[in-house]
Amino acid sequence: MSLRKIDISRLMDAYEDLEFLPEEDVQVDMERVRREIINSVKGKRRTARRTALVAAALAACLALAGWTYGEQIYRLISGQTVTVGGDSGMGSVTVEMSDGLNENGDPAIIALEEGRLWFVAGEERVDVTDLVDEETPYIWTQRQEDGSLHYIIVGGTPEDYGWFEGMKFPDGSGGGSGTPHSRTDLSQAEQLKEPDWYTAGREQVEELWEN
Amino acid sequence: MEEKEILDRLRRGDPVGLEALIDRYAPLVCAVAARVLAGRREEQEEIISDVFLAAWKDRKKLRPGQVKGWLATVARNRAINRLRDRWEELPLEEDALLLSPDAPHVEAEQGELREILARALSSLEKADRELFVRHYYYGQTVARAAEEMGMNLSTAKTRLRRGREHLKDYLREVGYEFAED
Repeated sequence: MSLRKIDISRLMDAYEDLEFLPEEDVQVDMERVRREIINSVKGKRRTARRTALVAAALAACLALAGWTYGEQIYRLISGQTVTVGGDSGMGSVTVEMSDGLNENGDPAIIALEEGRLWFVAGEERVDVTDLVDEETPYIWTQRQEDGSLHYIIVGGTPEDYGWFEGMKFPDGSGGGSGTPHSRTDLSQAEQLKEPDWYTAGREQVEELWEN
Repeated sequence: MEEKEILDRLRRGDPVGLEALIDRYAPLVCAVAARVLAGRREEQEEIISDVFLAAWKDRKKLRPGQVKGWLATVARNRAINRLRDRWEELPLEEDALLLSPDAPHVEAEQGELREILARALSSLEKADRELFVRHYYYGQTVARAAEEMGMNLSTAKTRLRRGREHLKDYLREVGYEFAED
């Protein structure tokens, strides 16, 4: 028979100590830590660990939307589906794209409101206007129980912004889709050009995956 | 830079505000990280970085007069969770309070739990309370906490037991029943 219990240390997670704060002391290389923090905020190249720091935790979990013999279907937050296996063969990945709008026609990933960019995936609402630009992404990631990685990259400016949502699987395969530009007056060549924020975001996701 | 100006700059997304926040509160955040992750300098640095980046991300939630408490709490939580994420056993004395198998399931709300804890701890003598917080909140070993407080180990364990009994008394008031009751 297993006994129910309360862990005092877990109970103390609800506590806030202001009475017995330790004496202020710096035992680390604070100048280096400070430089890393400021560089991260100013959009310099992030390490894989910093990528995890800017990731927001979504309340909604990625649900396995369907399963048939040899096939797994994931429905992502943007509404796209990623199918692994199935008729295309074991290990293959196919993606059914989405326009990034939810069933109400509202943005599911990134929204422009009164000149500010908001990351709105799941139940999140983060003002990312000052965190992104043409070269700097905002990245959200979540590891799944099966070892796969679900990620979202957003970037750009209020004048031209975009998003990409994808998955990476333990066997190294992966897939996803997104909308790289919000501007509608770009030429086809410009529309197809991969934005710098997206390139940087994919590199950081790869670093995170490899670590 | 005064706290008000720091917060104003942060809200405007000005990195100068973040630099000022770091200047002002890094010693505190460092000390909290060091208390939980004693001797693990690289992890302390990661936690310190995490805390200030969290403050930047949530800068619009920071309130005047509450910044110090917010930073210290986030530092403690991140450091403790680092230990838990790595499946490390916290070196705690009798951390588990065993509930009676016949007792009905009780689940107090977060705010209610905070209140119960505050009342239970405030009823302790200051030294008992400090020891309890150092051990169960910051995860310090009894030996280390006792040494830093200038107390002998046997006395510290007795005081800690007293703290646990006080806590159980307050938890019983909201319906919890313990195995030895």
